[in-house]
Amino acid sequence: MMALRHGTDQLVDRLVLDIRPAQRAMIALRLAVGVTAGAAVSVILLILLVGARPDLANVLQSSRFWSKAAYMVATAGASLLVASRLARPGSSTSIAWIVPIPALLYLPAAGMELMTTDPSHWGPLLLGAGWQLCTWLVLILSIPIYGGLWWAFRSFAPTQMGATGAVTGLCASAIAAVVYCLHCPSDTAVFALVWYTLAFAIAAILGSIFGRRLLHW
Amino acid sequence: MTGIDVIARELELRAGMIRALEGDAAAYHELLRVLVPQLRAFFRRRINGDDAAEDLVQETLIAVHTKRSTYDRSRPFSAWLYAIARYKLADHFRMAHRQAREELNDSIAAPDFEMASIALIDIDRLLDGLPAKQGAAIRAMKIEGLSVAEAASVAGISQSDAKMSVYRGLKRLSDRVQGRVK
Repeated sequence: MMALRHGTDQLVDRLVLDIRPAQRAMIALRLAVGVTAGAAVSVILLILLVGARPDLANVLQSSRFWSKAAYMVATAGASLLVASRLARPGSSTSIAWIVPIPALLYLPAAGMELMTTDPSHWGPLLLGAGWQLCTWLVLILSIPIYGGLWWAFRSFAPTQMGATGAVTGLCASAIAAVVYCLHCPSDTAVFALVWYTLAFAIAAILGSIFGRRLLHW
Repeated sequence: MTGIDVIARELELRAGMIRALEGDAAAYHELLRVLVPQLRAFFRRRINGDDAAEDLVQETLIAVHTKRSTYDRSRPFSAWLYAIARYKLADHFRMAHRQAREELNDSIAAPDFEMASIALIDIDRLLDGLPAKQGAAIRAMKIEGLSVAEAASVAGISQSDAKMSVYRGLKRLSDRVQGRVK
């Protein structure tokens, strides 16, 4: 016992020798680097796999395109904010309610589309030009971003692994969806709310499962 | 300790941690020196064995050191510290649990154990199908490992009879295994 206590004292001495000023914005910086690197890989992957949509220059003036992109950017931002809280041990995660807010704000747009469309045309509105591709591609594109987030989290200290994994998975898929906007030919709110949100949910579940293993420190 | 003391202690620890984060070695040393008995008490209340508790104290100190950038200077220091300590404690229990389970699995589910059990059952069934003298001779000499003389005296037969019984019994068994005799 005395030897062990002595070991603790020695450990304290060694740790004190190793002290250096700590980076204040370490968490924000590492998250930014991880997300940027992951997103860059996703963009390259998108171009190699399917390419950008040919009418990209035209849709940049369309409000539908921008409201779709805003939904994804806002979801990504909200989940990134929650993730940055989960990076610290013992931090409050009471702001988790902001995560579904972008989807709720986007709902009226989908309602408007349904009301202004004849019910016989709801099918194309919902199915767009290939929803399977959309959901799966968003999931594939989210892998490098999830990897970047995982890299960032290696120097953090999350203590709620399931929640952290879910939020990083959600964040990765939301950023992947922003990347996929460069290709996705369907700009309707109904389409985005159903199929992108499905991809977000799958990514959150997978992220939570992998998070329990990967985030351990 | 009164509520005021707790708050005073918390403010002191937080001030020490903030100075440590700015690279103040003396403040850091003082902080860790104060944390050691606190953590020791925390772990000893929760696990058996002072050695295991001391290990956890050291692991928590290392985590405090390597993860110190995750401390948010505007938030309570104790909440951060004990979240790390609890995480290390849960980790300890998880590891102990896994170790116990693996040991159990090793002794029960080892392929040897299963194979040996099945083989014994098969041998019993095969030997029971032989004439009693042959079965007993094989069991004595080939399974229990007795010598010819010992097996013969246990069974009350001559040595050549014992040897012949083993030979005939094994022959019959091999025929049966190959499906020649029903």
